Amino acid sequence: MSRSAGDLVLEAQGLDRSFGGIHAVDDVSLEVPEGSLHAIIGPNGSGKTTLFNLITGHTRPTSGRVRFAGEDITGMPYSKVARKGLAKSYQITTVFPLLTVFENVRIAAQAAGHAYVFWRPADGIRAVTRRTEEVLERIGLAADRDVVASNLSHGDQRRLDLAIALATSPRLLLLDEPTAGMSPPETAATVELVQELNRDVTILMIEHKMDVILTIADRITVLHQGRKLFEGTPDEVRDHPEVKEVYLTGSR
Amino acid sequence: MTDLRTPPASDGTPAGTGAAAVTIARTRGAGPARWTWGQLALLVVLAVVVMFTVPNPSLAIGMLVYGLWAAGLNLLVGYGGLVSFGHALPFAWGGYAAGLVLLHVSTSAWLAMLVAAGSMAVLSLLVGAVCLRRTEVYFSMLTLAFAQLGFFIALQWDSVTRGDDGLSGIPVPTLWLPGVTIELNALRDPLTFFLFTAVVVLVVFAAMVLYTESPMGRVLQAIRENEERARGCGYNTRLVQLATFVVAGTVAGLAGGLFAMLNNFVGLQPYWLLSGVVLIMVILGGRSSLFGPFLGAVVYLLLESSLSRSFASWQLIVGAIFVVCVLAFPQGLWGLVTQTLPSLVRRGRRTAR
Ligand SMILES: Nc1ncnc2c1ncn2[C@@H]1O[C@H](COP(=O)(O)OP(=O)(O)OP(=O)(O)O)[C@@H](O)[C@H]1O
Ligand SMILES: [Mg+2]
Repeated sequence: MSRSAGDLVLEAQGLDRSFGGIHAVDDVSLEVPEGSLHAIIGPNGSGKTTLFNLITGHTRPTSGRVRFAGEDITGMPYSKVARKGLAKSYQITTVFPLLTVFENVRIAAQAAGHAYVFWRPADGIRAVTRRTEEVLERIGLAADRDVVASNLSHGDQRRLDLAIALATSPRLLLLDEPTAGMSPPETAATVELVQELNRDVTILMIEHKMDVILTIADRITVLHQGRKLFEGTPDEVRDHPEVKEVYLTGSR
Repeated sequence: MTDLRTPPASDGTPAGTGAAAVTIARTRGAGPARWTWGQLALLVVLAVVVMFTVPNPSLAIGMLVYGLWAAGLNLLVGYGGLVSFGHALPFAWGGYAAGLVLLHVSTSAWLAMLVAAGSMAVLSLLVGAVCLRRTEVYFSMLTLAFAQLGFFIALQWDSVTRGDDGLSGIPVPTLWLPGVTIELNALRDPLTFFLFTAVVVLVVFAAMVLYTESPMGRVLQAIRENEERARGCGYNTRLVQLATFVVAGTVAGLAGGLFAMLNNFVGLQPYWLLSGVVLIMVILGGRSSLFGPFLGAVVYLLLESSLSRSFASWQLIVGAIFVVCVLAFPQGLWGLVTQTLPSLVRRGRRTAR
């Protein structure tokens, strides 16, 4: 398969999902080209996380289709979607709490080539160890490699969450509010990290902090009450009257 | 809506907790295992100690057999967070399988063990596929149900199992080795039987240690910690759990076969009544290693043999000891030695300074 800038990694068409009476995601379409950094913004409860879950196969869409790298992945189970090269970090930190930082990342790193190996010790698989160390280095957790994950600070746990996603060597990285609950310096470091990661991997991220998103995103989708309110470049979003209104008043 | 087997996709929050079985699986005692290959050396030491200090040879051999069985169960309980309430099923099945082979087919010890372990591997695949459709306490209940079912079949299917009476008069197994033929007679030559059992147990134990150290074994522990995230890394989490269920079942089947060879008898008692006992051995010894449950089995059997001689209601005392253990040191005996004591010593040193 030939890859070039402009090829679509992700293509969602008319995704729709209701929970009881709540129309959480209402006919949303999305196109993410290879190499881009695409952001999704919207007020609380506007359906951002649900949209992610529809893409990853957590939740089945009522209607609509998802194509990833040219393949239809609608309705595929989450683990299979992950194997195709789509990794996600979580809005609510999701790590392996009683395992060490190194072990957390290694679990993800070995998934690609050594998932179900039971006849040799994990410690002896050099390629996996190297990949794990590389990711820890890149995320800045190398010094904490032997710390049990639940003993990390909140900010470091957020980064470990991201490290696990990254270690699977995905083609598309979904980040659900990677800076949630972080202090300003931690946020700045994470933003820098995300930008750096974007050099090798396509990123689709949800973010609440407008200043963050307006500086780093190539393209922004604005969700409101489950619907796509607007999509455009950061400049277009900044100047859009409806978006301003939603963000200033919280509702229309 | 979603597949019933998978916990609700609640975006990160662990699926509903609260059940006792889950508490057993998730408390800190099940933390990262420190001792890995050193466990093999510990097991050799323990076997030697048992050989020289336990006067009753049948009890000494039984300790090895129960120890192996409990260590295998801990793959599920401690490493997998899957608390089986029905681990008597594979043990009893292995016992009957070995007994029937020795009675009706051949007196080969190898064949008896092979059939006990092999047939149980196949059965585990079927039972596991059903039980693992649920997790947590529902999984536990399903394993219990299957063990009950097995018990009733063993009771009713008289022509094969001889029901209440059990299979008695199982012939002494013969061990064919290159160049030598050895009678495995636990009564007349207990030392040979002990050494043979020790070798088998050590080899299987080593294989289990390798399993826990392998990528697959690591994933098993990761699933215990957070199944949702393990799935997000691309793992078929049910497959890993099922494989472990088969390993634990196969080991238990082998242990049951050895137990039948040791006693030349298989029956409803004690085989089918041990699901709780083996779980107690695991928790008593500690869930963070494979050696812990082995130690738990040895200690339990020591307690049982010394208490049952002096008290009619010895089970009451064992029960009380067990409750105290769980409340006072949930990491079990081995956890006490490797985790709690060192941290106490460290704290003591700090305050002394
Ligand atoms: N599993 C579910 N069952 C019922 N309702 C749900 C479920 N998941 C989401 N919802 C509802 O769907 C709507 C969208 O929720 P979602 O979590 O996608 O919003 P969000 O944009 O990610 O919000 P936030 O910024 O707070 O993270 C909300 O009203 C939420 O209550
Ligand atoms: Mg959200």
